[in-house]
Amino acid sequence: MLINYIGAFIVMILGLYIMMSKKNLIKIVIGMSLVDSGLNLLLVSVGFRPGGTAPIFITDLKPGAFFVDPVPQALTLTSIVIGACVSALALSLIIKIQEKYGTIDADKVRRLRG
Amino acid sequence: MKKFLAWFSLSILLAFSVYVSFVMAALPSTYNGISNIIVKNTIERTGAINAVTAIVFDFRGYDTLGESFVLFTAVSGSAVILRNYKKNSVTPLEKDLKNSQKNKSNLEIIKEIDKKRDSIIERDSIIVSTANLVLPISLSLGAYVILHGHLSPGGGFQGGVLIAGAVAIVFLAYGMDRVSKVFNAERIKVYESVGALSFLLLGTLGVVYGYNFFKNVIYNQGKPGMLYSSGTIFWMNFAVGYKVLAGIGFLLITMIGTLNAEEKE
Amino acid sequence: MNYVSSLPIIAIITPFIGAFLIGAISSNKKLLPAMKGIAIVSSLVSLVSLLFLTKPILLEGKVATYWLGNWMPQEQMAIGIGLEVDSFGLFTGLIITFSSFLSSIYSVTYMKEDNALDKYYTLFLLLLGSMIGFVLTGDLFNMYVMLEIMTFAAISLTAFRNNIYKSLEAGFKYIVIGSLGSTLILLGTVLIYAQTATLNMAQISALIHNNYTPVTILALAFMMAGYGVKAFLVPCHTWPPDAHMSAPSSVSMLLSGVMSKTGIYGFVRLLYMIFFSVGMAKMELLIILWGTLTMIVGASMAIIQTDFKRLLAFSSVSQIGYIIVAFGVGLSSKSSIGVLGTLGGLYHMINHASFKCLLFMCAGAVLHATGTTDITKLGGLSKKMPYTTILFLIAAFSISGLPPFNGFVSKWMIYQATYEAGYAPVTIIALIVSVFTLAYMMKLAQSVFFGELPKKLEEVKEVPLTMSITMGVFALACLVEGLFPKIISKYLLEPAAYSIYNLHNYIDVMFTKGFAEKMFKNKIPIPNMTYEMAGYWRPEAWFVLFIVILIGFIIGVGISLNFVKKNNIDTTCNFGDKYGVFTGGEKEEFAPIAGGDLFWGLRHNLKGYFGFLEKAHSGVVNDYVTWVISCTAVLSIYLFAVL
Repeated sequence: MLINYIGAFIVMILGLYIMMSKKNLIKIVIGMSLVDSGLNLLLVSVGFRPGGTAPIFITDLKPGAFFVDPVPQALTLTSIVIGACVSALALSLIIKIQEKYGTIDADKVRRLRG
Repeated sequence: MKKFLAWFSLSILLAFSVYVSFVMAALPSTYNGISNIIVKNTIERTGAINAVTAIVFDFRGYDTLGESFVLFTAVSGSAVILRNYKKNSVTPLEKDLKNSQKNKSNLEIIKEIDKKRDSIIERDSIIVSTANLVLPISLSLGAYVILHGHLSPGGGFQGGVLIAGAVAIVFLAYGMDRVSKVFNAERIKVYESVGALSFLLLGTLGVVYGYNFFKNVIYNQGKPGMLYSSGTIFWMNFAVGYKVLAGIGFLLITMIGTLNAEEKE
Repeated sequence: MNYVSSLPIIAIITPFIGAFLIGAISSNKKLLPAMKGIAIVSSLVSLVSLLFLTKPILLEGKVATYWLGNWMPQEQMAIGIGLEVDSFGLFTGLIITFSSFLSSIYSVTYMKEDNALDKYYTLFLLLLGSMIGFVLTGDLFNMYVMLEIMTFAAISLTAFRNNIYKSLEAGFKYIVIGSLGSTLILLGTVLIYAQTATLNMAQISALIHNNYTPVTILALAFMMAGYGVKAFLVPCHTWPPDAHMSAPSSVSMLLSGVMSKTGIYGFVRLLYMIFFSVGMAKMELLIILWGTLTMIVGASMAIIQTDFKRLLAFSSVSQIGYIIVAFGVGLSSKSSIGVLGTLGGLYHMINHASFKCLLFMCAGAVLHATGTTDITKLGGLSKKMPYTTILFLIAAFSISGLPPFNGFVSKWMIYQATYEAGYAPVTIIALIVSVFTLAYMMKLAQSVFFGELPKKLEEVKEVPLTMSITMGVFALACLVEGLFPKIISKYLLEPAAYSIYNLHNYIDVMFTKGFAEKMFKNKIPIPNMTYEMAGYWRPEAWFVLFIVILIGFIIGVGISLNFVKKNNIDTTCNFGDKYGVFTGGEKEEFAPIAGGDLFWGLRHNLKGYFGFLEKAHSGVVNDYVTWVISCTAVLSIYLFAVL
């Protein structure tokens, strides 16, 4: 549906804006997770058919009922797990950076440059 | 200069995305591609009545295998990053470098305040009684979701995460020392590898029967709609659920363990 | 032509089984030699099963297919996941398994002194398995999943030595930019699924052939930017210098030499098969310009570095630029020039893997013996480590393109291909960048191996036996590839180039014969694999090239001749605060002026240019993300205007 697609793209662009302009490392991780949420919304909305029901063959199915597309829902399951793993790895790196550097400001965590 | 680049590129991407969404909304539905054939074949060829689970574990089971490997890699990576590093020997130039890299942060002061706070507060009675009530409910709900993956929305991944929440509930109510008494981190890591190996072995069951990898060879045991049906999908739900609960439980224990690292030493 | 074999799936699954076995016995610390044995045996099994596949696929030209779960296509639609191995995939797979097998032997002695080694071998086998799985598959979503396993394993291995601050910072920058690249690739996959309703690569290339709608053009822009992050193209190249510097050397050689090849594999599949653009002049112009920019930026940044492995990472970036230019020429519409360009790109892929792995192994040997990679502190190591010095010089001469080694043949093919395609300025720029390559290799050799031996390094020893055997194997490969180009080209490269252009066969083996002809309006002609290399064994041409390189070298050294003496002024602020006024009071990692720097004069004369480049690599994560997003925006403007 049109409103879903535009909403998903707006959420992704807001997430990209947070990644580009905020200096606190945890806010950058929140931005990454927003981009993943927008992408999952886009993926689920691709398979929608107006008037369709969930793709499960329950015993009292109404005659003439048709299903929505089940393949993008299977792809979304994988994408959600991958998004959670990215957050887990990034946050454990931030814990160790705080121990070594004493700060989590992106302007100060820049000893490798040039 | 950097601000200008950021605004410029984001506005261009927004303009193109809105244009493409209008075009996408007018396309014919994607159901008439491969999904039509898959839905027609679901009950006869796999025996499951949930089409999404049939796709996840049977038609595109190789992608689910890859996804469980991603979870394994992320948990191993976090364990590697959060460990204490010990080196066995020191080469000549490193002796000088070590003396010049002492970090003095005011982290020590914050940790002492936290330690005092932990020993003063009694265990809060509201949290303890709520945890006593919620813990068995969440464990049985998680087991139900894993079992009924092929009959209703759910499956191995969702149920496994529900059960792994038990670690967080025990930590909130009873503190770190009770967590380390109840859960043994080393053994949970071994259980995760066992779960992954059993998932792979279920995949090679098809090879034993003479077909290709990942074929569902016992799909016609039991009627579709009963609890025990749909062949290898039922057993794969167990294997994946077991793997996910061990993996995420280990991840939670490792991360909580860094909070009170000074108490153990 | 339909060949079904289960050897590809054995090659993919065996490293994963090995990784889980190591995880299951990891609690028992005494079984560490068994874990090393499992790692070496698993990589050997993958290598052997891919070698068994060379006879049918490379020599006889068949394509191996394998449908997982026996879900054959019904009504001309592919409902399952299919593996499809043609010559190009097998060629890349052989490079990956060969390098990983030697790296696993190298890491037995190199990583003796770290703890948590069981997790190291687990992550190493996961990295190997996912790289093979990425290359041998024929399904678009499966490529994304394997790419994610590869990224996570590489990040965990980069941050392996977590007592050094560099590893943690490099790991964080890698995860931010790497996951941004993967997200862009998934976005492109979603848009393609919305348009074509299928996920199989052969079926997609049949459906969208010459039929570009706005949805597919935006998908192409996103996927090109995403694969650009994975294959180090400018401006998405900011993560490899940090990551390759901090990883252990047995892993750095895999990240730099082999993972970039998988990024290029994805790029070539995108341009030659899914969005078929052979014969379009505008796409050829875009790819050639992009490759030239990468070459120049990589070489310029490499001259001003002071760390051994960071310099090698920037030189990787500039060599990838050569490969991309060659594949860009392969898109041209004149068939004989296109074939020469593609062959040059494939040959440079295998050459770059050989000498880059050898260079990183030498860096690892130096680090293992002395404990540092800062070239301002090293010097005169050739007296103590003569074997390493000889191997390093072999690799340095290969990378700059001097005659009996392998860099000469592939670079000659690239020069000739760009000149005959009508892009003469690109040839001149490629020659100048070759001279810069020789210049910074000589700078490394002078600073690290020749010169004066500092007092702290009096008791370093030569490398152990397992490390030197593996280094010797790679040096032998460099020599063999340089001396016998005709044999390698006939058996390895020409079948791979033939299968890149042969789109009909790729589609037909998945479905039925003649399917592709029904979908396309006209048959695509496959170019003949005949070409002639201008003047390779003619002595005059060889002599002219050598004179050009020599004149460039003399000019480069002559500009900075006044600082080549051993003025080892120790300005690293050991005198206390009395001299803090002159150096700003900074410690050793921020003071790049040292007495042994060969190109101090050149750097001073071109201050504006080098200063701009240094400010652009500022080290702040937000700026790196901005570069990637602006690259995406520029690509989408160009593609919408052209297609």
